[in-house]
Amino acid sequence: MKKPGLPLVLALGLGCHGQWGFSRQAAPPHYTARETMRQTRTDDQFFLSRPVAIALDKSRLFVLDMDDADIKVFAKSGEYECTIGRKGQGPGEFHLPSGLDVFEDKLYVADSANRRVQVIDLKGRYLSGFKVPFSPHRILALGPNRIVVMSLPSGRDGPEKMLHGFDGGGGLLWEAGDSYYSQDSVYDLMRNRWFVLKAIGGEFFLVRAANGRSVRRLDGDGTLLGEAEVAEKYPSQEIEIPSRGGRKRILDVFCWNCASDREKVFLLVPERTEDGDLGPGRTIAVIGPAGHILASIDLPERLSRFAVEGNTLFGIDLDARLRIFNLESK
Amino acid sequence: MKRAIALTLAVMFFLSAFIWIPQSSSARQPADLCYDDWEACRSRAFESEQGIIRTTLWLTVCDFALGKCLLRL
Repeated sequence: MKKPGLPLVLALGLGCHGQWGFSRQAAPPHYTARETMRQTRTDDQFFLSRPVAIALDKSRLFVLDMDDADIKVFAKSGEYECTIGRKGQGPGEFHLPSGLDVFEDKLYVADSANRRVQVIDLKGRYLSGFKVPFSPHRILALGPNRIVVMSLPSGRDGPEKMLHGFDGGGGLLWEAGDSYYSQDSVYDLMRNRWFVLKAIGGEFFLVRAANGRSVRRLDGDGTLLGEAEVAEKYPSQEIEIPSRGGRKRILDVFCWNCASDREKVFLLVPERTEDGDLGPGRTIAVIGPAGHILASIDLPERLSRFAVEGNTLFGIDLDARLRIFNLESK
Repeated sequence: MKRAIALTLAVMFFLSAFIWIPQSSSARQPADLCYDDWEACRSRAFESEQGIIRTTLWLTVCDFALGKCLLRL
């Protein structure tokens, strides 16, 4: 005998989580980011030079600074605690670092120009590291023995794999994700702007910043587990960019930056600037596992980088200042 | 906008000769060093807070600098 009730129960159950069913038609709730902390100038200079990545552990906030080649450590209240690392090529030193993650009291750094990954403790002491045959751009530590490194493709010899899985000793486990390649190095690089974000269960999300509207989910072995197309009402923006031979090519910019918090993905919506360019906007869309917009967050100011934990949003504004916000429903 | 882009590109192209080329070609180093500088230039451009158009202009300057570096080998 058939059990017709099961699909209905499943659909209603998912509907309760805002993915399918009746709640699909409802407008997503709006949240406002209310500022609780803004970093001020010290000696007439902002404290951060070129912050490029934010990572959070239970009590602290780590900001990777590409120009200063160090990691600034803050309490989650925004209070500065210390600086880790310095410019160089030795252990615990960095050159144009661009990616950062934290896992079990260890910091994992994509040391881009030194072409290596470094693992250091929270006091900056070098623990381990390994060389990589590419320019490492972003990094995720999914476990002590599962490190995902995303490269910045050079396009020198055609398409390249952009995702690389390593064990804790630097042994290559897998590679995935072909870069876009059209022999136009500038356009190709803009197309190859990807983000990797932690999900729960040792898995991760992959989001392409341009010419794609999906959130992919992969496991620690680089296997694609699923792909959710983001709802049509999410506003991506097209822009013409100068290209080789004087031509113009269209870039469909999906998000300026993004972050994750457990199973939610937060996309920073791109926005037109006063001079007609396209930059980070003042809205963040919260995307659920099925690609639906669960909520939107209005920011008081443009942010270039951000991280979210519960109802707290940590951001870097366009003056490279650390800003902390509470998310409140409108 | 077009004039501003052209002017910016011209200025950046001129400055690139002083900013990036000396690092690459000071001792007629191998092509790989030119590419190292190119990748560093691209990394910095890619992480800039500028808009899309400005970022692409900066990336274009990185390519010019690479071309110059390779020609001088």
